[in-house]
Amino acid sequence: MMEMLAFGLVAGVAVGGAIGVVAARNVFVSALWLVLSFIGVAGIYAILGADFLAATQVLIYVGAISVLILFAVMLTHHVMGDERSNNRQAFLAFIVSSSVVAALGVLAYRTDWPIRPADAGGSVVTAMRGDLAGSSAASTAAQTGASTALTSTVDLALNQDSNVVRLGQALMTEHLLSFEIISLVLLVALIGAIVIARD
Amino acid sequence: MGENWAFVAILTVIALTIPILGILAAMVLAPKRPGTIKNSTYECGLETVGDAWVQFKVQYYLYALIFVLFDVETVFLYPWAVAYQSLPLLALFEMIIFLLILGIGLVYAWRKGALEWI
Repeated sequence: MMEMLAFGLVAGVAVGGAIGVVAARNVFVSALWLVLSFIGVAGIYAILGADFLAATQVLIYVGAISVLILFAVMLTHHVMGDERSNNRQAFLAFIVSSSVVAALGVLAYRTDWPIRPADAGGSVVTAMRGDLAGSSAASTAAQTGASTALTSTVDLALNQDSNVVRLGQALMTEHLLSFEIISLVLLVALIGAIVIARD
Repeated sequence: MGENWAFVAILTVIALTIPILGILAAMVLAPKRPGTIKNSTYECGLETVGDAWVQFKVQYYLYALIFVLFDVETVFLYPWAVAYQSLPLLALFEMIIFLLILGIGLVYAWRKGALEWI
């Protein structure tokens, strides 16, 4: 119930922001509405349990990409001049975008979405629990003791290992090389941007 | 998990309420006696010349680009900091290398004068 309420709120923000983007007369104002839409999308990620993705959405899209878009708009002479965005192609744009939405909707509806347990550690423990319940040899007392112990470990694991922690561990151990290469990619992007901008 | 998001929700409500309260209080409490001087664009300083909607300098865009890159860097610092307790000491040096490589970029931008306002 609470989740539905939160989803409704957040989806309303996202869709409302998107409507604002389309409805605004000035492209600059459209860009500001886009920020609101980004915030709504971050909320949707949060509801889906992808807290790292939500934080990234706020940090990168709400924080940085929107600034980039706003500066790009401010740099464009035509937009900052008297000219306002025209809606001559509105009907064509409506047809194209609504058919894209329809195609995506049909695709989403027809796709079989397998529901997995929230995290791998949890699923392992659930499987172990199932084994425990199935073993008829174990005495009931021992079984209860074991399952309470398991329950506490499950709670501990669920509390401590949020996906951010596991992402950090994976980045620092398994994917160490890719992690260090990311910094090189960012360096190249930075130098490239400076070289192009100074030309 | 759910409780943590409740804190976010509470913060959001507070963050939205305080500015709305401030604006409403100003609307209700403030006396309104407009005059020609009070209605001018600037009550102090120079009157603006021309339209405010002018084309901005490219410099802004370069700043934004550099900001985006260091913002992405922050995104990688975040899971590292959260998982720090469970990581070996090696992770500290890995992050130092990561930051040093990006530091080279900052030094490059500095030396090329990209951070200077022309």
